[in-house]
Amino acid sequence: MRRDRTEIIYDILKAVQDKGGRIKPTHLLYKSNLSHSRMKNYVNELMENEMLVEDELKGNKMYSITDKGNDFIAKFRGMKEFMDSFGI
Amino acid sequence: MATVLWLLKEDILFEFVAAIIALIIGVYGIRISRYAKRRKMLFLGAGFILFSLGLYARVGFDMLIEVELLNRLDFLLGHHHMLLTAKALLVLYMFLTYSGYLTILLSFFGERDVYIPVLMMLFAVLATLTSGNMYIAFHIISLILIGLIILHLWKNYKKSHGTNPCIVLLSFVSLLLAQLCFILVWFSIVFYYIANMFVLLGYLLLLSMLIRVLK
Repeated sequence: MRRDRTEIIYDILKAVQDKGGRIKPTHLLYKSNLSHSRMKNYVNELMENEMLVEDELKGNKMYSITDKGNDFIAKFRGMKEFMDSFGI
Repeated sequence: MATVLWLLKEDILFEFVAAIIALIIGVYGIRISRYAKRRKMLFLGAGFILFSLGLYARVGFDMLIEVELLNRLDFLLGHHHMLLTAKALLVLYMFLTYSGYLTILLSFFGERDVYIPVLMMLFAVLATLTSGNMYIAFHIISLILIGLIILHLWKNYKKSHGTNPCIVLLSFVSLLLAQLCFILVWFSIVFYYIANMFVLLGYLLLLSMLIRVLK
């Protein structure tokens, strides 16, 4: 089923959260199921909105989730459950 | 045993509680639609807000009837102004409730099939206004419309087998049984008491689902 924009953002942030709050770009690309350019656009947008930050671990580029990103996941999960309850 | 006087006090309380719950669910639905940019959620939220407004109109109607029956027993002899206001509130309640059902159905059908709920609304309003007994016609049509909503919720439950879809399904089954009991009031006033219980139960189930989701 085709995901909408909010679902894609949720899936990206969830992928980071599931990896303990920090993920390699290649893993994120695989987990988010997006093309490289689309993933880059989403990640940039999430960084602009302070939901993701870029940092380094042993010389490797990583993406880390912020408190704002965690808050979005919690909110969206509740909303998704509500929508699923009505089959919408 | 429930008496008519007891019912006239308690049904207002039940409807008031149901109206508050419907409003909370409606506002949450609209909040989701703005946050997740889902138009279907906007329709669902609007549907519950219409239910809520309808229930407030019904509370107004019941309060007028109670005041007249308990304090002014000349009500039955004719108080045209009061009667007209009560009737207007009852018609408003029916119209808002129909709009609520059809807005919720629109959220299930999608905007492509917008003509289906619009035609249903036209049929519901015309059938109610032209029937010999508006009260019975309203509850029979409500029964059918809730049946359509239940059909969608049943399919959704079969697909997911989740607890929350089950609670939502049961809440609408409870509202369906309430409509059935409202029709049976024709035979015994006790059904009015049972119907109000089912309405309250339906909305309390919806509230429990919302609490589970927000937990």
